[in-house]
Amino acid sequence: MKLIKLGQEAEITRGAPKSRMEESGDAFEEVGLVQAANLSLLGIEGGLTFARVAHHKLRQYRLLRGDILISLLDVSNASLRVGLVQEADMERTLVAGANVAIVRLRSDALERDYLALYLRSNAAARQLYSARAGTAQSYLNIVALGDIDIPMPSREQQHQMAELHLSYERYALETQRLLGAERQLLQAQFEQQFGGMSG
Amino acid sequence: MDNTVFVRGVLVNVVKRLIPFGRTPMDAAMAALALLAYKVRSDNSHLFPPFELEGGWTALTSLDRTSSSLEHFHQLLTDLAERDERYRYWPDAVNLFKEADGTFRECLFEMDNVYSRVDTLAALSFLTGPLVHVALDQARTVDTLLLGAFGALAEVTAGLVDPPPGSAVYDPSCGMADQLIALQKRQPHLSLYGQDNSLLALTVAQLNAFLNGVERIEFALADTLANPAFKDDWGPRQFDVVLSVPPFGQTIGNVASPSMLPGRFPLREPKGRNLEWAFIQDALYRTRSGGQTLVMVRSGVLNSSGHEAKLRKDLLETDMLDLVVSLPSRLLSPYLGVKFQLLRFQKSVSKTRRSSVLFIDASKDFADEHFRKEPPSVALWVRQLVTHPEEFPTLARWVSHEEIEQARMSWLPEIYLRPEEQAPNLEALEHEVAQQTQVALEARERFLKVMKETL
Repeated sequence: MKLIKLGQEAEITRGAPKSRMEESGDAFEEVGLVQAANLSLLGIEGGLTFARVAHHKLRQYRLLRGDILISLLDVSNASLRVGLVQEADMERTLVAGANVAIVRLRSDALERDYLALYLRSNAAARQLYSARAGTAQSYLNIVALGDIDIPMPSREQQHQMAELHLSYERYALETQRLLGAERQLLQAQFEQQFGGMSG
Repeated sequence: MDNTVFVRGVLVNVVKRLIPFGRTPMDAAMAALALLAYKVRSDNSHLFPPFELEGGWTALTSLDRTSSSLEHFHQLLTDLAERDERYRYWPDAVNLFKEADGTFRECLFEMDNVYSRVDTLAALSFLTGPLVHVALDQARTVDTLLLGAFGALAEVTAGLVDPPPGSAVYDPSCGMADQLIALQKRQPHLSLYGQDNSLLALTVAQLNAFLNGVERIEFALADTLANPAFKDDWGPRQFDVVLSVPPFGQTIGNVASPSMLPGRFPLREPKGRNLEWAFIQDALYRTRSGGQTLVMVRSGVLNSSGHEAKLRKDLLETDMLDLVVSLPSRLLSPYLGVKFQLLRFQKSVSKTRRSSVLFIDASKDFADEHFRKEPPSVALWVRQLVTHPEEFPTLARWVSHEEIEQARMSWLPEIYLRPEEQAPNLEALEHEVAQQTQVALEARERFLKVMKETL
């Protein structure tokens, strides 16, 4: 199968430290700061911290729909933590923190969902581990990311694979939410029956 | 405030108010621009298109937004731009309308792009006579047209101060003077003084006052911290009420050199990022004994440590702070998404110490679509909380200075107002589980289906 370097197909940049985004400008917007913990293939999740980014800098840092985000931290685990900026995330203005790499596709030769899935796979992680310099700090650099070889199946295969895996992600997420709701219900029933007896 | 944000703020505000009267958001957006241009036009007549173009504008104002009329207009402007350097931005302006694709947000975004590239006055120059008159006619039919980024906030602040007739009211960073105008509408017999360091802001402030029939505001172009206006023989004049919305996100160094501020801050000289505290102290300095000061600040400065915490401690000891209100951040939407509070200080002449502060959290109940449709309701709601705090124990409470000290000098109402724990609602939880079961089952079925098709 044909292989291409990620760096050829996509522009890879790194999010900026909050202090740099906030450093100047008298007119700013309060925007969501996406950190490694917020990354998920189904969109940006969880509570975001906020950054006050000067208006003239927003164009440079603002995340766009379809951006693939990769955590540069905590790469000692088997696979990378990867997120996709989805349509629903566009309701608010988002920027990426310094520990997040932004992969923005230059062309449509690759399906972004497929690419995100591949980057999250063990295969991508293995390539990175062999390339990673030093062991003291598990910190990924974006040059190494650009060197990852991405297998290029047909567009149809990419699409199928992405759909299968993302439908599983959705299924897993909704099941987790169901378990959470059931746990809450159980807890509430318990409290209602026995809560008053402790006092 | 940066001109781009400022102009966009005005546009968004005016457009929202004009939409019901125009046929499309574009109509309203153009009317908004016209309103802005109305005042600057007289002083900048060279920026405005000559009569020959008015036909083109008529086509636009009649909302014939078909590509042919825009093309025609674009051609007219391009020709003119080639002949005359002064009109070089106009083709850009028309392009922006073409690119805007009719949706209001995109339209404003594109305008923003143009504004950030060109001088604001030049960008405003693509407006012309007939449109101004149409817009003004429309504006006169709207009772509540109040320009200004903080129009909805102005309704709230006007309800929190109570100047008797004849009082002098001063806004040291008046912007579009929306606060002063809103107050004047509640209490017509006031002397109003507005100051700003932006000529554009003051220009629109005058237009705003004109549109609202408030003609007795004295405006001054001056820097509040470095060299304020409105002085008398004894130095800076004092007022019965001072309303202030300090500029956000600036440092003192951006605004004025500290060396230019001798003796203005008797409590503690603000440093670096403490611009809000410079404005607060200045506002108090300009308030006479027995008067009131109302300041809007970001949450961040009320909960910070270090120098700002010391400033808060000093201020608390003066016993002037009597009210802190958290307001819904959407009140400032779409200009700013920050959480913010209103602080009210009373420069009491009485020797009796108050030694407590009324903290109110009005931020949550209106954090929905509802209040945006009816902005005055926030003002009424806050007024209700202030006058009858005892009826809303989870939203309003008098807190002693000792308790504030124990909470590390935080002035955030949320710290002192914890909602009562509510008994779990089993029925709602059961409903949620049933719904989530359905969603999870559907997700599973979808996954199985895709797997079957793929493998």
